[in-house]
Amino acid sequence: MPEHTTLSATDLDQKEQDAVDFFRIYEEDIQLILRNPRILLDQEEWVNFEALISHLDRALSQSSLSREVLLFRGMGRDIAGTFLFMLNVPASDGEGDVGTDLIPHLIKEPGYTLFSTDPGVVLRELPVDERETQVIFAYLSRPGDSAVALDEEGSEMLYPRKATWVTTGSTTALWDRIPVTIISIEMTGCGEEIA
Amino acid sequence: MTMDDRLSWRKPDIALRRAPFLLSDDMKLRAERTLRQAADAIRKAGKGSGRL
Repeated sequence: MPEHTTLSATDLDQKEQDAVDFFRIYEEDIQLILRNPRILLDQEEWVNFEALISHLDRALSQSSLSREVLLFRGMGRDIAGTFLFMLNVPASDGEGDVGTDLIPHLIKEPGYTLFSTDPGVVLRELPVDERETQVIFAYLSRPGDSAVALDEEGSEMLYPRKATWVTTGSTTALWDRIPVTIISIEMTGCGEEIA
Repeated sequence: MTMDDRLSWRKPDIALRRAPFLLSDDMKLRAERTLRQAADAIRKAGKGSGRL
């Protein structure tokens, strides 16, 4: 069990553990349906999907973090530049000051939010292009946050679905000489009906 | 699905809108702490990453 969680997947009941295992395998499909429920809404499989989500939600409600953990998530190249413009965060080519004077925006994720504790894992998968800005989100979790570790080490943490995150500040740091804009976020709410 | 998709938000994944409130002092203090820790973690992760 990861040291920062109070419960691991193996402590969940069978249905909850099966749901977490199923999510590990079919994460892409589950996230796609949660983000676009009409894909499945009128089909008979919807009932089974709702049951799966119910077990996943229950697993999340029973597992919490015991301490603060610094978590990271990236932003794809298709939106990073526009996003920084909306927040009024200038792209920087070096180390920057910490600032909280951005225009706060809400990020609504209909699916589950997945974070990594390792910023290198997130950044290694983002494009290397000097003309494009690398953007990474940082969230300092709170003890008691509902979250499920997706691996034994707890390096990937699953947060509840339908979360709303708010951007709270920005800075820039160099990652192997590549400037990375870091945006801090906080959760402002989560969980509702699927569709 | 690549790691990029799993651990990054793409445009179709999320809805973005301006927050209808101002950040509280508590949020700003937490943001400063989060950003300092995150910047340190990113610098450390970059050392020896072998990307460049």
